[in-house]
Amino acid sequence: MAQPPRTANVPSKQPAPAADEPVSRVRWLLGWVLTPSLFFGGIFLGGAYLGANHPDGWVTRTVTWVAGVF
Amino acid sequence: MASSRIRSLTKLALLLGVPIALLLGLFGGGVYCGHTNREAILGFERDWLGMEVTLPAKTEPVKPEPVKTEPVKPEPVKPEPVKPEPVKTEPVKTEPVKTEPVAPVVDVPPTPVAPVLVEVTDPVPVTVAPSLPLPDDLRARLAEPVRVRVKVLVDPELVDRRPDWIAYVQRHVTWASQVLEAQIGVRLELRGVVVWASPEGTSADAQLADLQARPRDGTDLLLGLSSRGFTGVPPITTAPESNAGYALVPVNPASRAPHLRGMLYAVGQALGAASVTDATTEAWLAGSFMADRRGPDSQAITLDADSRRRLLERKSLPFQVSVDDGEH
Repeated sequence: MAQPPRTANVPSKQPAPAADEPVSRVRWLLGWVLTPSLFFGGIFLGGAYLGANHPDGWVTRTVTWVAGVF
Repeated sequence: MASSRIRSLTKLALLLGVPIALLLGLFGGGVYCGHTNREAILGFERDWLGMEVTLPAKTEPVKPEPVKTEPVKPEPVKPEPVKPEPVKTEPVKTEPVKTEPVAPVVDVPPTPVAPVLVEVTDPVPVTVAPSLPLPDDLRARLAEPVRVRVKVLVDPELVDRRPDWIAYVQRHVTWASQVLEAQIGVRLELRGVVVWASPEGTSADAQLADLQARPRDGTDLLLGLSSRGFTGVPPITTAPESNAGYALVPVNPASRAPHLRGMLYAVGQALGAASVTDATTEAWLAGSFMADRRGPDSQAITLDADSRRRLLERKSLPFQVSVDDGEH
């Protein structure tokens, strides 16, 4: 009565051919390493620039005050 | 109903608040780092990015220290009263003109560093290309020995950074002299090293103007050792009948001899050679010290043929009248 589960679609879910691997690795590096690094590094460097060039600005004074609390 | 609303609002606040707090924390960390490492960042912006920034005047209080040591000078004067005989004092009085040029030499050891005037034996730490053969007319010029008496003013920033700043200057002058002697037959003689109490954070033009307003104390050439890079160093114009008496020495912080190329460049400009600014010329690419750039240590220091000819032709000219000469 009970039919065995269909396995006809299984082969289509197998890993992509080897030729696509470098592309996916580059995509992974771009997506998980380069773009986040640029994004977060840019925010950090922007802060560093502000702190160095505008030491008397309200942002810098606020940050140094907060840092002084701890 | 109300509790589920509060719960969903809390979730929303967390969902938005946590990423924003992380980003603000990252930015704030950057601001804090920038504020605490301000001098290094501003120095990087000025020397490497060529930005016009004003360095903090933190080094001001240190300046007077070497200047205060000038009272050491009276010590060499004391021997004079030891000679109370009237006959001997007369020849001493006849030589005040000679003692004045010697005064800057007394200025050389204004710091507690006693063995300052020990002869420099270190070899030039960067590669120097051997001088090329010259045509007959210029070979005769090369053989003429020319001595240039040099007084060096040192940027307070360098004084703070290097406790051995006098020995540092002495080494650089000796190395520059070795290169110049081989290339154009000019020997540099260090006559004085003092802290350069120039207004901080000023432009290179203002530094050069400040330099020109200072007395040379009997020396031929006043060199201002700057903490600035080659960017923005103003060209020196020399009169046809005389060499310039002042020059600004830019720095190449990445080099093992940070002021060597700059010093050669400055002396070359003072002696009338033009700055090589075109990066496509052979002189620039070959690493001529008249190129306005930071040459890497891997590239040998050379001198292009045009600049060398110009320097050889002008090396015997007198130096321009000093501010203090004009007063006499």
